Amino acid sequence: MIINILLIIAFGGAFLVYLAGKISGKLRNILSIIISLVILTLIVMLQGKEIEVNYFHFFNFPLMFRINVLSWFFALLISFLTTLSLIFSLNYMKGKENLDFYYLMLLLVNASMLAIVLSGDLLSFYIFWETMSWSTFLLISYNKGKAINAALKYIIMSIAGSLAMLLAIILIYIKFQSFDILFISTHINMSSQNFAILIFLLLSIGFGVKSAIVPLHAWLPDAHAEAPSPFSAILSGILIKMGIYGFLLLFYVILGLKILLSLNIWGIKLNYIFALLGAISVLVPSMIAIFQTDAKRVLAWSSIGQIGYIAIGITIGSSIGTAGGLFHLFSHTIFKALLFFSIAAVEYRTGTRDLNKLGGLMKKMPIVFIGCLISVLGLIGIPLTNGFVSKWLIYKALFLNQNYFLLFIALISTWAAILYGFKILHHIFLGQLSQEHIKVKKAPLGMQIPIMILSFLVLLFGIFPGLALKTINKLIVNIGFKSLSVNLFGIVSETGPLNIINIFAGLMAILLLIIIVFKLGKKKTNIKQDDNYAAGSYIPIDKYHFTSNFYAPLFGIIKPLLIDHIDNFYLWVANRIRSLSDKVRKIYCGNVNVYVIYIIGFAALLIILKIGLKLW
Amino acid sequence: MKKIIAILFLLVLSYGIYLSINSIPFGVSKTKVGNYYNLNGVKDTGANNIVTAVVLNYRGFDTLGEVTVLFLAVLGFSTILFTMKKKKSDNMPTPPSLILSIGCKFLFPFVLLFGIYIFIHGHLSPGGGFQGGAVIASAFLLFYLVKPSEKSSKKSFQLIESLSGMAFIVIGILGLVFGNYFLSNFLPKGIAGKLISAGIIPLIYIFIGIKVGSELTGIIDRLMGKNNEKQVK
Amino acid sequence: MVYYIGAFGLIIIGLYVLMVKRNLIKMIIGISLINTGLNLFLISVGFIKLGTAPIFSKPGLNPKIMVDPLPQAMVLTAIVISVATLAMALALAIRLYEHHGTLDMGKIKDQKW
Repeated sequence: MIINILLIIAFGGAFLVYLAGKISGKLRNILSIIISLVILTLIVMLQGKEIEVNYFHFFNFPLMFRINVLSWFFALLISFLTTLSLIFSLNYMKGKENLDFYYLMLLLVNASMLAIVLSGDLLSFYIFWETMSWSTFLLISYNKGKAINAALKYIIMSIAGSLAMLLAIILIYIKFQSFDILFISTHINMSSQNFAILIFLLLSIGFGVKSAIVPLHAWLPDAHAEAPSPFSAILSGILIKMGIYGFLLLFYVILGLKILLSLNIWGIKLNYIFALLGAISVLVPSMIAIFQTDAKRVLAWSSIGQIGYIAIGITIGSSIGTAGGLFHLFSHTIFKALLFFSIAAVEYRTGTRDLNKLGGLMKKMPIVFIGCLISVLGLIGIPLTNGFVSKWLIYKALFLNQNYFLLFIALISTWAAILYGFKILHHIFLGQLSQEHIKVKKAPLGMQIPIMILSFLVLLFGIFPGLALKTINKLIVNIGFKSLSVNLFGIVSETGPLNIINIFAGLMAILLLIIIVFKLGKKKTNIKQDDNYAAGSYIPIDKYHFTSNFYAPLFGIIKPLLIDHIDNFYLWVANRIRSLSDKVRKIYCGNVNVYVIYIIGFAALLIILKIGLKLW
Repeated sequence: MKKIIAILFLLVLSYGIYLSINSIPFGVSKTKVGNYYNLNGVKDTGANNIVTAVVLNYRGFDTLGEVTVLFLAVLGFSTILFTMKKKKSDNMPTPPSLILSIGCKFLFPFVLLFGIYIFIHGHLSPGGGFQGGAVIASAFLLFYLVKPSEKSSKKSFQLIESLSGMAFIVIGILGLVFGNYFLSNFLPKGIAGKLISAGIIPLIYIFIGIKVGSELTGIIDRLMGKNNEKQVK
Repeated sequence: MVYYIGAFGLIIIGLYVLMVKRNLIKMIIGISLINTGLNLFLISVGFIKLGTAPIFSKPGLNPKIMVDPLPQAMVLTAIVISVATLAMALALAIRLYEHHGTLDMGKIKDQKW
């Protein structure tokens, strides 16, 4: 019953907020926060429960909601991030147009994501998947202009994906006469291997589009960059994880571990192919991210990369790997949202997110700087942040699985992450302060609160990973893995335990060393930007802004390798289709004679066919 | 090139048509319903003219629809021409010759009378409202030929047209009130062959006649291309 | 039989006009020809050899050899409607001529895309 109430509040609340917005803006803001908090508390209350509700009979199909550890974990992330994003929106979106619509859609996305993770049968899963796609589409296109193109790209790919998914669902229904996920999972062994492969591929397309695994990632950079920033945080933080949720559902609930590991085409294991795709998604997008100049675009490409880590983690098929994937999902949600919030705060105050125009904002916006620093550290995987724990787990799993190739790729990608993480940090907060931004104020309190909460969480789960690992451990046991032995500071295992205390001690020693070295060295001197050799004549600041073209040497080396061929391919297909349609359109030439000739010609064709058939 | 293609297609088409009409017997009664109408038409409706019986009794509702189509077509016609720019034509149309003007003036009342005769006797003899209306319109055509600058009142035509159209529907609704269904023949059928017989059929045909006549006259009036400016001056 | 041939001859001539001619008035004439051909065909379908008109104008007529009244009833209304639609087509042609100064469909280009 509580699930029903939860979802009624989630969906009804969205429309209630819309109506409230017609009365007054303040009421709407307060109501939206209240609703998201209520949802959050309800979900926290649901911890550890396993409930199943039949909420509706659609013809003969019972539709049901079901909550277990897996869905609870995702639901908590969703509602938590939405709440923060709403708080952030209050300031960020102030004074923009169509706010009622924005809040409606934001809450609708939230509600449909909750419904997705809670739905216990494929039919309602599909329905809410579609509501999510469409409301996301409307939100991405919120800014108009370029955003509409990005949103169109998103929705077209999304429709293609969900059609593949629908096909798979129909096939499953034909086979098992049921949409119930548990029923399917208990009966899937009876079907043939080919059927399982077919289902695997079709559903993978559907989930892959949403989670932006490499061949299907083309929508993501545009969409992330063009969406309103608080929504970008949701988009990158949790929405693309819906695809990962789908994969988890497919791999470990519907198919099950045994079948997953046995699936192969001509002897090549499908999960290995999938992990390889994940590795490509880690490597190439991380490289591309280095060379972006739009801050949000850097983060967008980075999102694809981090999703790749998660994909590698969950497909290896070992306890540590899956735990690592899930933990990385969790930490990515936190630090990527934090990064988006920081960038959004900077954009809110300075009005630009072009990295080459920013710089030196560290003293102007200290809280945002600290948040950004912590999240970048988390992104890179520095010890004492949650990113370290998750990457450690994934590397460990790869190492234990003897997948040295994937391990190598993942390590290289971490270097790329260091480069682009440092680029963001440096270009925005360090270096010379641009003349235009001398009067920049601190970020407003409503923006600082989410940033502070998230920074705190990054450190909290970095120092005490056991807090989250306990739940994740339960989760992986729930989906059929061996249990890990978890304590507050990490995991205990024979092959090498993870213990944050030791790492902490080591890190402190190194830090001490560094501080001593720097104290002994020369002090740096700051030189004013206008104090130079130009003899007082005017110098265009942009030209001498040293942050532009930061990684030029590296860029020169690997740029030819980094053309996004897949995106180009999609664009090529789109252009072909457009020119083909343009040619087809010429059939309607606007001349009545020709139309009559078409009609008569078709009739003549039919007659010829008829006569031909008779003779034959 | 186009001509060759057209002829080629049409040859194929005519061969196909030839094949299909070859299988239609010619000169034999084909429809059962036609036979039924012929055998029972007089008894059912009281109209001597079976075609009229079919048009106004068996398929009366259909006819209402067709009258509506007619109305819509005329409406569209006048809408299209209504916004047309009026050209100032300085040259007056040449006056008609003496023979034409005298002949037309002489014929006009007779043609009008003939039209009225046709639609009043629609249930007895060949003819009916549609034909009678057309004849009335041709009478007005004659009238316009004689006096191209003469202007009949458009408003009155439209009023007559609308009223007669409405009368059709009112009769239909009366049928709903007195009989059992829309357009039911609620008046006494009388003796077949008399002028006043066949219930509502002559009534409806009179209204249709007036309606069609005024509509077609309106079309002719429009196509004569007289300018309103002159009329105002 | 000859009626059928005549009817379809008219229709085919009308189609030929529609396919080949570019002048609007001629095309309207073509449509009108098709219309007439169809009416003729409908009437000739109902024809019975040695039949009489379906009107009991004098006593002693045999209803069994009357021609089919149904196509006649159809055609009766169809003719009037075809007149009205013809008028409408002509009105459109007039407007086009007003606007473009030509009736040649090939020369009216700004309505195409």
